[in-house]
Amino acid sequence: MSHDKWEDDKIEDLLGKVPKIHDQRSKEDVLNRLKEDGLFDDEPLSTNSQSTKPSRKFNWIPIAVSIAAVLLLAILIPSFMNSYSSDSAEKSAGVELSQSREAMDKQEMEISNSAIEEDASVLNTQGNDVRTAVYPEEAEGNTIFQLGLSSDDGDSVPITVLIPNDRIQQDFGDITPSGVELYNKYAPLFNESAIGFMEYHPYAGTISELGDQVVHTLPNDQPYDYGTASMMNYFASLVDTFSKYSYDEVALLDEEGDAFTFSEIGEPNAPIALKDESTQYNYFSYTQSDGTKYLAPNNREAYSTVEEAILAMKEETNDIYQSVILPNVEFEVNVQDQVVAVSFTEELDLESFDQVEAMQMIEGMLLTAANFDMAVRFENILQTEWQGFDFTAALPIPLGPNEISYWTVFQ
Amino acid sequence: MKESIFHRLYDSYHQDVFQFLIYMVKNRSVAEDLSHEVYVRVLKSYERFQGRSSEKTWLFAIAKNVAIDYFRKNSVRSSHTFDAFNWETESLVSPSKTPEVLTELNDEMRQLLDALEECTGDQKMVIVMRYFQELSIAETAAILNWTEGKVKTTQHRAINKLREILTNTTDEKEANRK
Repeated sequence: MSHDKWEDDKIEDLLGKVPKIHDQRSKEDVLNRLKEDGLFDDEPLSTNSQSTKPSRKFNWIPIAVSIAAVLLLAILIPSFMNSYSSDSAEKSAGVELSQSREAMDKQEMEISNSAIEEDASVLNTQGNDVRTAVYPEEAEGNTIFQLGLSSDDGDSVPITVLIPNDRIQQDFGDITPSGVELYNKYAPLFNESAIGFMEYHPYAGTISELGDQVVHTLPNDQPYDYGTASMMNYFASLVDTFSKYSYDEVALLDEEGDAFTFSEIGEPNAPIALKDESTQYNYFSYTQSDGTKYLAPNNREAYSTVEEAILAMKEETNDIYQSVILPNVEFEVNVQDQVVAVSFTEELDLESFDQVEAMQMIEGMLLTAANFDMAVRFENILQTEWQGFDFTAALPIPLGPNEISYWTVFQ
Repeated sequence: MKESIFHRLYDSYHQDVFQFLIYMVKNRSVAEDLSHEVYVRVLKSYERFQGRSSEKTWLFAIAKNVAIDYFRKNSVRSSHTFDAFNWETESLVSPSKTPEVLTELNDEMRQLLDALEECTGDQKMVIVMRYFQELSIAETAAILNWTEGKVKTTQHRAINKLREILTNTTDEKEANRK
């Protein structure tokens, strides 16, 4: 045999002759398995047009309302007591308080493990508020926790959870935890499947920090580089998980402490930037397989200016991410004194649209501007107040997209 | 309605998608599970399909995501560490097929398929799509959400890599014989 035995033509010829492999199961077998999984139970095909994030999606049927009322009382009372205890706690009474708090936690846990599973989101709803992002006023008394989850389409979806400060104090005492400490504590406890996502966190290996850097030390058999799609999902997840804290970048290291070399790249990986032009995304609507809608970057498309980013929200470029701009709505974008002015060409009556869809447009713009550290002032909207927003001034900068109820994912 | 969608997709693409999956994961029962998962995702999200890509590339993109999720969840494949696959003992090739199909897996074909496992994930996916599934460059680019240029480059590098691996394997065998 000689070296020229394996010439390109021969390889390509052989590749074209690999045996065809067929599924031996009958069509009925394949169909029956889908039927057993209940895939056809909800015929006719629903449109899910009204669906929003799971934490605020429920039917106001009377039974649910009754359950909600009972649970609300059951949860809020110990919660208030905790809060009161926390505020007034003297160190000398620490043991007793912590014992009573443990008892309350158990009570909470028992409740949450029973009926609350039916629809834990009830506890986090604010009337008919269809807002999905987290705003500064909601963050009071809570600590922001964010993750980039792995979607059914193999991309990262950013979500935000408000962890009650009582819980933070239980876990960390009086120390304010860093983003990495929060991640290492809560990512292993986060139940992704409770909101229909695949298990992705905690990351393989260890997460630590060094100054402005998050350090991800990866094991040799890390699961992130099966193809560039898998790597892009991983990199985007790191951005969604750590960019809201004070870190500038994520260093990816091997177990020897050297920059990690992924097979797809073939050279030591540069740190992943968390706050530069590459993370100035705009927001589109993404729908998971279960019909739940989220606001997410459009394939991580990034822009150098906020004007470009918001104007590009009109353009759909794929079947995965849908524009949140309402049909036939035109607008101009200008920046004045670090505030983005979005001026609708014709007076916009938000009440005349599906409220969830209208909110997706407003919040999509707010979140896009937030990626440039800017607030948005809307001009030429008929309503002066709508869904908790005051349009007479610039709206608050959201702290994070896609709020998920603490009670849903931490059980 | 969903059932009629299933019938149409099954009739048009089932065996193609199944073959793609089985060449990706090289295990018949896993490929069956993954093809089930592909239908689950497709049927749940079919209403969102807006026709920016063709139905075929959309289906394959979902199959690709399902395969990648499988690899990640099972951490079965990191670069260059995939367990060697026994093409004869594993039930990859249909036992009910004619003996001719089995004999096609001669030494060279087996070496080639083993060498493919040493390629990167991207290279393997492109080879499977372009040569095994006979998808066009444009279709492959749409499935992977790449430019056509990237598909061409990856395909070129994959062939180079295969040649390199196969040549080295042949040299080693020759050296052992001497």
